[in-house]
Amino acid sequence: MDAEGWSAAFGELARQTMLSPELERYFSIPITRARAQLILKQLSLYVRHRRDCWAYVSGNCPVLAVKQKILAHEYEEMIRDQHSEHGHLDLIIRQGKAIGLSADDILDAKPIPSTTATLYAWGWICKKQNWLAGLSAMSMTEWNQDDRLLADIGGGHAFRMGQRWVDQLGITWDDLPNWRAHREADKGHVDMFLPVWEEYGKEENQALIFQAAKESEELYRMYQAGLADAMEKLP
Amino acid sequence: MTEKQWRDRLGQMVRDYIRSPELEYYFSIKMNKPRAAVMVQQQSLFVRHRRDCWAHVSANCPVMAVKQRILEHEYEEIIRDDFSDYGHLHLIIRQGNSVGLEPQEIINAEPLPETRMALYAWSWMTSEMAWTESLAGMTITEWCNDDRLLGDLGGGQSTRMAKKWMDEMGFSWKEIPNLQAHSQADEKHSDMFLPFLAEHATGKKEAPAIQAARDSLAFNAMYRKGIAQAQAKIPL
Repeated sequence: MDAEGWSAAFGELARQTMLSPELERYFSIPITRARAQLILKQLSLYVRHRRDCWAYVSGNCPVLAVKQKILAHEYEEMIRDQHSEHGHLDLIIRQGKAIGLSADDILDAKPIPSTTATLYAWGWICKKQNWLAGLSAMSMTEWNQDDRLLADIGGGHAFRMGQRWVDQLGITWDDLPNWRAHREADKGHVDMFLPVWEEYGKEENQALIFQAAKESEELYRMYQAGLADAMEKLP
Repeated sequence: MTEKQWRDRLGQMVRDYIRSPELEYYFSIKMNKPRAAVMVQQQSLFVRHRRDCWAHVSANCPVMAVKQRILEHEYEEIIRDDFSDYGHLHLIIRQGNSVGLEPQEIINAEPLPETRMALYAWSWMTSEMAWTESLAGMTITEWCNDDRLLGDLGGGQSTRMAKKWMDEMGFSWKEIPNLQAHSQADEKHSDMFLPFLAEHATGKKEAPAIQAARDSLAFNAMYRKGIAQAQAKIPL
């Protein structure tokens, strides 16, 4: 497959995920401050865990050009990009202020069981499986943020959930720096690895990459389903 | 904690687990052969995967007495014990025959998403975390089959599911050899590792080991909820 073919394949998986019963339910639950806090605290664990995962993928990958791309990706996430001078965790901490969370509330967040399970599972894929599988698993979930691809079904996760916070909590997009950034940043991140799929996604690797993407989307659905279960228990 | 304190602590966690909404749902699904087949196939993946996990725990553990105990445990599961001369996978294949599954359908079973998530999570726990934590995580799932602990709540997982299969599909114990074996074998397995937790999961290692046990029960609950959801999609 060429880059266009891979784009279509990953795009279709992302659309299936965002239309899945798990995501429909997640987006149907009314947002309160306590529920928003839960989402953001779990997101901070998810985001920090991805730094481990991308590092595992880079460590397993023998191709310097791919390592360079991962480093560029991670530099933007952890050090500096157009959205933050302090990495994206800073964006989450800033977003937390709008809903009454301190920096420590976010940094000391405890995972709910479904977050623990899915983060361990992603860790296993990225550390122990073929680097193409790990890369596919990591890159795939960023497609779930792509408003270009998902506009006709409500937008990517950051836009769709961000808009719910704006509508239901009376805050503005200026209060949501993390999601405002990810609406833009993940478009670039999605495109970043298309040349890798075109070059390395041949013969038996094609099935391996696609299977890992599919598994990663299943984990994403279960992560969000766990949030939905936990949100429903909160006022 | 002393061995008795470990027993009480883990036992209470397992009693909470067996009364959880996920397990109540798992046991509420009315059974027929196609639904039972889903459980047998997922259970075969679960059981085979545990062989990897126990090996990870053993590999990460520097204490020879613990490695010996794990080997003893695994010998019974993989090679021979009172219930099978061919290991416990053989029991699952025989049980699968009762619900219309060929051995190849069991050997080549595909995991449900929840099964895959839980198995990967256990892989991570046992491969990457401290051996005291993974030992607690692995051993506690066997407590879920302990009728001594769970008798007043309807019995352990295997006994309770066996009763459902007999009540709802008319099976005899002979036709469900895996459930029969695990309703008994895991009582012995429950006791095997308590002395080592008392001896080695001490000080700063104690709380993480308890947390790992709690996480492992949560994985088990998610795995079984996934099976129940898949079963519910199959008509009665």
